Amino acid sequence: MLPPDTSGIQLSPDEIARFSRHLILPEVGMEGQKRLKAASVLCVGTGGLGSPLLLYLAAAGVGRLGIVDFDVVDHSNLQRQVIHGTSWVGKPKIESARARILEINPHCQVDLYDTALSSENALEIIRPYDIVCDGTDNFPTRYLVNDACVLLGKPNVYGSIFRFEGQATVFNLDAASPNYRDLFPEPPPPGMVPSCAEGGVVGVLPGIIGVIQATEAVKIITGIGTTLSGRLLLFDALGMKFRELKLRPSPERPVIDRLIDYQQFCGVGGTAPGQEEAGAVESISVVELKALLDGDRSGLVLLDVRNPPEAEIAAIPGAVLVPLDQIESGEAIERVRQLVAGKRLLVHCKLGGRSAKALIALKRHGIDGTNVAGGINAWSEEVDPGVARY
Amino acid sequence: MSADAPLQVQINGERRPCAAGLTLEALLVELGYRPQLVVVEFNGAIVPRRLWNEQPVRDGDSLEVVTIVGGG
Repeated sequence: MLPPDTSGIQLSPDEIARFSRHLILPEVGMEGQKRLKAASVLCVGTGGLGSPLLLYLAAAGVGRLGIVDFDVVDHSNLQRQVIHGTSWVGKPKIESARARILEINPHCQVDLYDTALSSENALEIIRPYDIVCDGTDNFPTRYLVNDACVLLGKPNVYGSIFRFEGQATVFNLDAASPNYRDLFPEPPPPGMVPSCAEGGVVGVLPGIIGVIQATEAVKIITGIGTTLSGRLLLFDALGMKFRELKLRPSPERPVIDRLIDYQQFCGVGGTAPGQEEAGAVESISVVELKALLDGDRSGLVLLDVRNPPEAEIAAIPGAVLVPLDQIESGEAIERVRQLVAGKRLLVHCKLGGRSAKALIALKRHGIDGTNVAGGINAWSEEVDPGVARY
Repeated sequence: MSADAPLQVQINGERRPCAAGLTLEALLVELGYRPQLVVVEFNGAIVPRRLWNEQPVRDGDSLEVVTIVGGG
């Protein structure tokens, strides 16, 4: 529970009507509702998790919500990021979220931070809030949020999702609580864990995990129930199963005494996934690819290393689909060797990162080729707008 | 894993047969996990990755395997 200071907090007649279903719950009541009104929650990220989190925290009557995000609403967000609507595509997510929050609860104060959370600004942004909710989509920011919460003594309500799987817990509820580093002492190797943009995510999943996070925030604020502190909740949407893992502070956990360079810690060096590989292989532009394909194609092989569902959405005519994981596992090497058979090999994916990885893997087996910079995304932008972007 | 395997281990809450003489790392690979992408709770405690190759799996051991996910 947060230190309850509800002195001077009053509910207006409109608020009493609005929150009546809370007020008649003995566990919440007038005191609990005043605590919600006195409380402040910072939500890092207003994507899949941040959307339901903010909607429910606003509706529940949290007095002040902070939102950190630098992104704009994209069409591909709308399948799960339910705080944003179609008319907001192309506009800042934080503005879209604020408009929706104030529509739900005009009594809520909404503070916007149009920035990426960084080691330079994290402590300053987080300090004025009671609770932080982690709805970020990358590992460097997750370690940053964790360490900043430990340094400032703030509960960190954690959620994470991928495809059909989700996780939630409460880190750092108090000084004796486990935190993110007890669960994941070391970051995964860079580029090894695909993002939702690469691997997909079922749209309802962040709804479930985000609402679990909102539930935990409400419980911490009102001081009711048993939180997930010390327990990692794992959700499998396909099996519709929950499991639990006990979390304890690790005796090997490093002392967190300052914020560090989290990009470097996670080995991502500030580049997007696959970007380093893309710089390490020979490449051609999509315009050059078009010129090659318009000429004599008999000496060419164009390989598409995306996953089959992606090829169903959009494909470059004549490309042969061999997914990257089959190349990296070695399973498809002989097939590629037979396809190439002395021809010039060109490799593409969605954005150019996975195709570069494929070329690096193929080179280990003595097969050389050229990357198509920017992938089918650039092809759609620069060569054929009839090819769908996703 | 063969049906006459001598060991029974608990994996994510389900009892499963397991070949004898495996290390934790070998068992994870056999189960189809990519070891770099999971965290393992072994008999109630998270085991650092560097110890997986030294950790023998014995009859009655219990594993919870957590995939590292980072999406939001």
